[in-house]
Amino acid sequence: MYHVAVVGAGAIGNPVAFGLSQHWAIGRVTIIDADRVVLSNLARQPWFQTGDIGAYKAPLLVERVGGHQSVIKWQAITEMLREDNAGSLLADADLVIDATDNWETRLTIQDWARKWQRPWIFNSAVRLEGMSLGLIPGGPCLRCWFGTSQTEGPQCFEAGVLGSVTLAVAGQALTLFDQWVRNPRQPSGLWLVDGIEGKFRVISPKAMRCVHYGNG
Amino acid sequence: MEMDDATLERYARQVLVEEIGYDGQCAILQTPLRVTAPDGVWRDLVCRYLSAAGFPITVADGVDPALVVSGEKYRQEIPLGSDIGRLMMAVGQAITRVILSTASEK
Ligand SMILES: [Zn+2]
Repeated sequence: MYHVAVVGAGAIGNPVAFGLSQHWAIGRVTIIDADRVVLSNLARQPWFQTGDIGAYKAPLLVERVGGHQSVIKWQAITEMLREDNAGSLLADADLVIDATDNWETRLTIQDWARKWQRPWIFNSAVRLEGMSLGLIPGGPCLRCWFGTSQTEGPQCFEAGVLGSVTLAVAGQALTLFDQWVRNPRQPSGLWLVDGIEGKFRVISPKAMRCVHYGNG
Repeated sequence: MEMDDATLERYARQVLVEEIGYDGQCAILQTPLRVTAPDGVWRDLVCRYLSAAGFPITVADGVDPALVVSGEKYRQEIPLGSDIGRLMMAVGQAITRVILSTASEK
């Protein structure tokens, strides 16, 4: 049984937590988010309601999604993941799912993952499009896939996004988790949600050696 | 119809999506949908997302292993029974289609 840490309890974290709660291979889930619920979250973070405004997201999500379960051990952390606390907050995680909306935190997850040789799953959603990517130790990293300039891309608070797109992205993340459970050494492709065409696409795994991390 | 400030703020991120916009969100708020499916977490999931997007919904017990979303002008059916991740992907895309077709009728 695996321990999965989810960084972010927002639009992607909500359905990821739901998916994990239904998954046979999960023994423990840790949800990390320092944010509180605001009104504009409700349209795409549907485990939160009007009465939750002002409350911390992580413990609410644990209560709503995992509260009635005895099989999975749920834990909520109301801190922001940073370089100096990643080691302790992620300590026992077998895999980390990125449900953040910023590149800085993703790179923090990745630095931790490379240091401890753990897999993680990158996710993002903007407008009607979404992406998911599984990153395994020794395979290409986020910088290999997207280049170093990507960190300046538009953030979802400016561009708008649909909750149904973030749900589809979370579904991709769960599918990539399944893939990793079946074969932890198989590199993942880049999975794309195209909400306009109503399609999914997969860009094949890159056959490249990472030059960004020493242990490669 | 017009949205008051709180309603507009609630749906702000959807309204910002070009294909939805202000009029599209108003159309969503005035388009009743019916969700027909066996009682359980998947029906609950579909209802959560449609309600959160702004649709007025009613729920009915279905006997087929499928999630059916129906409105006056369309019907979406998602078979139950695939992997959790695949089913979440299918539900997400189906709801996006419902949102986009509703918004384009504005
Ligand atoms: Zn690299």
